[in-house]
Amino acid sequence: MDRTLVVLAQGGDQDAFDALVRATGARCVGIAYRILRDLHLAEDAVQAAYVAAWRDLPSLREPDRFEAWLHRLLTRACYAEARRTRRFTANIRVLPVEPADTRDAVLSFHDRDQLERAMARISLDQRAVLVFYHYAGLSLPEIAELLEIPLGTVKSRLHYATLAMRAALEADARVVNASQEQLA
Amino acid sequence: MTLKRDPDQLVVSFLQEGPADLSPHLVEAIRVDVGRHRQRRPWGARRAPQVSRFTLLLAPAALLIFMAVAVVVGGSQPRDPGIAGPTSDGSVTVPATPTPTPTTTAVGPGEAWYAYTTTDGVAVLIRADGTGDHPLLPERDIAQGLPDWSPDGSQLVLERDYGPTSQLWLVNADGTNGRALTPRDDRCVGNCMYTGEPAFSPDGRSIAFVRVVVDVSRVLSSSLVVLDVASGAERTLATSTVTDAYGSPTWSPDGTRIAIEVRRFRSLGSSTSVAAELAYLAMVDLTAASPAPEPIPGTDSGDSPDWRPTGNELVFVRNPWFARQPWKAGRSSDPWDLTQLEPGEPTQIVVLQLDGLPAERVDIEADGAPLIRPAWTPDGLAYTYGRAEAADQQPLVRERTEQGVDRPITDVALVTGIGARLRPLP
Repeated sequence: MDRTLVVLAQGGDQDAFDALVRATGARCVGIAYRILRDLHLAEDAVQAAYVAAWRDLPSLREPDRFEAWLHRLLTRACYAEARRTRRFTANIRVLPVEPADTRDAVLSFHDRDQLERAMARISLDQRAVLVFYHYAGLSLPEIAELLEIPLGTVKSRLHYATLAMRAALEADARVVNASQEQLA
Repeated sequence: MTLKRDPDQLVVSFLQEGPADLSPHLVEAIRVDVGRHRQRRPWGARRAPQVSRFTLLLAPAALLIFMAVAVVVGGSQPRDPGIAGPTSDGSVTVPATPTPTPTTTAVGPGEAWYAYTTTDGVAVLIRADGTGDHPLLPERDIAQGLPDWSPDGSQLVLERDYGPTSQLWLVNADGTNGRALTPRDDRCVGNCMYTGEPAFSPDGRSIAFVRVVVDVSRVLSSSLVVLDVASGAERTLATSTVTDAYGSPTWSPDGTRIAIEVRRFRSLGSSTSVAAELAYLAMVDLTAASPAPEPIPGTDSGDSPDWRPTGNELVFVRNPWFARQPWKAGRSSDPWDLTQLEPGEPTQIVVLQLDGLPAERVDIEADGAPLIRPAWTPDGLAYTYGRAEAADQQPLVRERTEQGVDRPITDVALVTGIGARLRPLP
């Protein structure tokens, strides 16, 4: 992250902030999508997070930590987006009709189905930890600092989220095996 | 033979899937949005000045002198930060959207305050004169919303949202003595429970609220619940069918009936988002042996009812697009999201007379501008509502009086948010 851009943006330079958006935006979209499981909601959350970042940027004391701070705002924006959506529409996301765009042959359609359902069942708190750990590649202490929660809580959320995801896959495997036995 | 697979690796692969691109339209939207907002300058970010030891020694004495002078002069009140007041030439400064900052602002017994919710989920109090805006609760990281005053104006009930679950929270008007009224169900997984939209009964002893539960099979059920504030006991008045969701309960002045909005959804499992295909208002008679929501004639496409404190009239919003289906799949469908609107489908704020001859009066009609959550003032002479003038603007809180005067709720600050309610004063 270019520290100079952050400092310039703190002083009100909108071009510098625009450059920051371009430099960090794709990662934010990726994180928000994986937490919210919906691209439109994710983009709304990303937009809200950047507006919040712009408004509060002068209060950021350590420009070098801009991205971690931005991700904290993004997580809050994701929570707010999920909340707003539920309040007004009971927007319950189900599996997309089109399969996910991937060439990874390891994941079957059933895997995705089950994992998507498992993601819908775990809490947003757990989702956020899962995403920052497995997608963003942050360490547990880094996640604790980012989300401003104790390290033990991060471990607990990750543990339960992982259990839920494993359970979904194992349940799927049982169903598939039973079907194969019936066919045999 | 079954291949042995590492489930953790599958989870990692799954999380790597999906978009991670910054689209040009999003970059542009952020740029435009940022251009509309001013940066907040931190109050405490200034470097502490160097102070000599001599000054430090003199400081306590100076403080004593100052306090003595203050006592003698009397009546000197600390100025509330953020107050917008007359300038030297007599004009009034009008700040843009007030920025809630945590304060310890006291809420005096006879003072008129509005409680409302910002669109980013903060419950805020602001004096009726536009000063003293501050978050009701110190916790900013937990989304809050839809505060409702107790009839004596001493407390507020609101919802606190933790993401997957939400609970009701009762708090004094000054933000102290907060306590949970409903459990926070941490066992709940996914989008499975929503407890909210609380409304104090006219006698202040009960609170009506809605509870929406979505189980792991994506079956939605919704309940209208009345909670006894003193004991915490809940009484479920009605539970919906699997495709109905209740919302926005509001009490009749005599406390014998509750009006609600009902949204009928399509099947929950066939699209990327669930949209209401039908909306109307319904009445629940609390004196009935088996209370059940009965549709109120003439309220198709209605939402957000609020019962006039001084009579049998409901004010509500009629949203024609609310009942249109399907909504744009996967799209956030906030009431102020104008992508939901079509030209020629105006939103209305309607006042409906419940007794005698059915009669309705369309107070406000807006084509292309959502009207949101009208709420009567305690004297029943006016109601507040939210109005966004464009798709990318926040709803401005306005007030419409019985004489038809329509204006922002204060003269000195432009308040944006939803659900503004004026404090009842004994």
